[in-house]
Amino acid sequence: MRPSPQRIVRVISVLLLLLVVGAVGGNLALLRQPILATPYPVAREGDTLRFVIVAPLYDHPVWQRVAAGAREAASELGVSVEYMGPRRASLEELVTLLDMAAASQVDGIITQGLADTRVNQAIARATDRGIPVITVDTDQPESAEQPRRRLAFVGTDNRTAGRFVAEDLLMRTRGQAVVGIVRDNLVPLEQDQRVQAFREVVESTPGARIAAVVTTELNRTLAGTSALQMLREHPEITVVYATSAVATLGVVQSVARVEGDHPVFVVGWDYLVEPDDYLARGTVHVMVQQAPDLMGRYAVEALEAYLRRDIRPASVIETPITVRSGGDLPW
Amino acid sequence: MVRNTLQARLMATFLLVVTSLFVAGLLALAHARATARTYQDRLTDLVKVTELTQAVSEAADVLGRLATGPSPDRTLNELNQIRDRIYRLRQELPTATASPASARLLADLDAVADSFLIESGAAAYAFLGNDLERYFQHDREASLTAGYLRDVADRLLASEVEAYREVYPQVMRREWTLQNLNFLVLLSVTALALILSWWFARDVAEPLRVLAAAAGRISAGDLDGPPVQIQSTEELQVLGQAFNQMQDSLRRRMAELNEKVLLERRLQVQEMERLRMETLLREAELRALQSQVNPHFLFNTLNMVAKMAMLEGADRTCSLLETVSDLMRYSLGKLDQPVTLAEEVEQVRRYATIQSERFRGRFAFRFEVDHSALGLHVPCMTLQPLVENAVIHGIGNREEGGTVTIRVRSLGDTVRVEVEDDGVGIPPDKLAVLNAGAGASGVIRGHTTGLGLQNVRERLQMFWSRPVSLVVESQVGRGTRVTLDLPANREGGEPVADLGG
Repeated sequence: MRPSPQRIVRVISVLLLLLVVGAVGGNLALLRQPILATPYPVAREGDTLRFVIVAPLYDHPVWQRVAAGAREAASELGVSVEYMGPRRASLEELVTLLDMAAASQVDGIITQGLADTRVNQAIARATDRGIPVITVDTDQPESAEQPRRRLAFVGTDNRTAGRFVAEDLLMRTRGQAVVGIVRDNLVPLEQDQRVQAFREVVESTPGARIAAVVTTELNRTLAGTSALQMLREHPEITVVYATSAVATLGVVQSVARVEGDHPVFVVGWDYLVEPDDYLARGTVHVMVQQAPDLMGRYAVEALEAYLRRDIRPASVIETPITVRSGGDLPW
Repeated sequence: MVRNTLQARLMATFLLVVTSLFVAGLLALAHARATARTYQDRLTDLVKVTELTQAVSEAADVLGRLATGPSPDRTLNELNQIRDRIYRLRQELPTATASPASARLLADLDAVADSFLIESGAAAYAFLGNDLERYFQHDREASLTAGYLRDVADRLLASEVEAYREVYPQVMRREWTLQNLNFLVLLSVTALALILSWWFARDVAEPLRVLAAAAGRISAGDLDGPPVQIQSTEELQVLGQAFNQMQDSLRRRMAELNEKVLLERRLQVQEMERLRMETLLREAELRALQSQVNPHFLFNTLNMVAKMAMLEGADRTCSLLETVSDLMRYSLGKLDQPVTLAEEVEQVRRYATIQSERFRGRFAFRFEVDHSALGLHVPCMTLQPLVENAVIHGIGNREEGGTVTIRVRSLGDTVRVEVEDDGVGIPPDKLAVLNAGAGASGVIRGHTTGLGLQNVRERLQMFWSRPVSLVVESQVGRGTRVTLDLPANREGGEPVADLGG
């Protein structure tokens, strides 16, 4: 049965009418949508707590772990965390960032305590404005003319860590070791503590001694060069102790190039990139692993408890360390 | 219920088209306005940010001039004004931005401005309190903070631009969609209008074509076509109904006319039949009258008796019988044909002879005849019944007898015939009946031919196709006179002859 022309006309008319209605409806629906995607409301006072992490270096792997741990805790607690830091290691820029964070009236600042007057002054200014500052990884130095103004320190107990790593090393070497130490100069106090505790254990052991201590800049290449030079000057060294992550990287590279009459044992800190891999390959033999994410977490938790619940944290909050060893012993 | 009128349809179409276009236009306008408004809002936001930055920088400069400038009071006043402006500008800062980063930076901007106000306020108070060391410290802080503010503002502007760079394709896509939708509306409405116009035109044209065809058929004389069926708008349906009613009433009127003509024809036929019947009746009557005399038998017998009388030598009897025979022959032979008045008079003479012979001496007949009038054609047996009446009813009832006078005179256009007797006369009441004409025939029907006065009157009337004057005058005891005026120009006589044939 063929449909009549009138019916076809009617159907077409109805379809066109629907088209018009649909188009107008679509138009209307589009009109109801905002032209720009949902505008983001500007956060105002009384909103969620806002903390800022000011790292000494933006690309610092440890500090990025700190930030990750802090963000995780922040999302659990319903606060917000921002991460910032100088693109190049620069104390001036660090101070500026601290001041800007204070001027932005954030609720809390998480940064590294440094033995630098300008940094300490910046921390003091922030505290003066009522912004609590928590130092992480490294604490502010204490001195008579510059009291500590930070609320708390969250980090490793470097003394304990230094002692643990020395004890572990001597156990593996059966008390025999001629140690060369490579340290850097960024945070003297922290380095001092790590070296000091290590030295105390070694010196109390009859078969072990410290042959040399070199200090380098916070630079992998420089650290490697310094280690190489030390090994040439003191060929009797059987163990190299690097007291920071950067130094450890440099030392690992230089030790691989030294062709001495005996293998060199490497003791490292914070070998972050692939610790298990390095341990398994035998390039690093004893290693102290800190817990930077826990540092971030504890810092955020301490700030949140302080600001929301008026719980003043302990002056020093320790984070756990892990001493790991592996690979074949060189002798 | 929506009425299906042409007007309603046109209005609906018009409304649909206009409304659709109006709505589409309105929407396009609303979109354009919304877009412009958004851009304007964003621009205003950025302008506010810039204004705030500039005000803070200005305030920092003014604050620095406080210790070094010429008039501390005026500078302080200026500083306060700028600080007020900063307060106001902070209130006017946008509450929403295009990206979360911008939102963060905007909050920072506000907070940094607040910090600046605090520091600058502290510096101003320190200056007023003559604590220059603190003043310089706070001034430095304020200056740094102003620098931070510029930094934040720069980052905010960059962030906003970045956000728009990301959003721009969306906005463009939205514009594109809108344009296409509006184009679609335009296209659909145009198509719809075209289709509906075509539809309406067809709905109007088709019934008109049907009506025109029907009108043509009717004007050609065919009234019996089927009624037109129109399925269209109300107006055209009304037109169709009116047309059908017109056709119907035309058809009815024509039928009535035909019936009337038929009726008239039937009436005419009836009339003619009635006339024919009447004539037949007359004829029958005539035949009956004629048959009262047993004509041929008597006639033949009389002839035979006359021959015998002559053979026996009775000449007088023979003559009488011949007269009687003639009398009878006349009555029998020419009854259905017009005769001359002369023949009629001759017949009456024969009758008079016989009656004179029968009643010897008692009856006398006088004839006063104008011979010029005798050529007139008259119906047969016109005169004799009058004479018979005069003899039987007039003088026949008188003992001493009487005289009957027959006069025929020409009076120009008529011929007057008078039959007069000096008999007993007729009483006035009977006379009135006789003169009235109708219904008297039975009374006066007498002997011999038996044709009464009324019969004579009617036959004359039929012969001339008009009434003929037949007047009876009488005085009791003195006599009776019957006067007959016959038209001299004999016209219309022929039908009677035909009827008789």
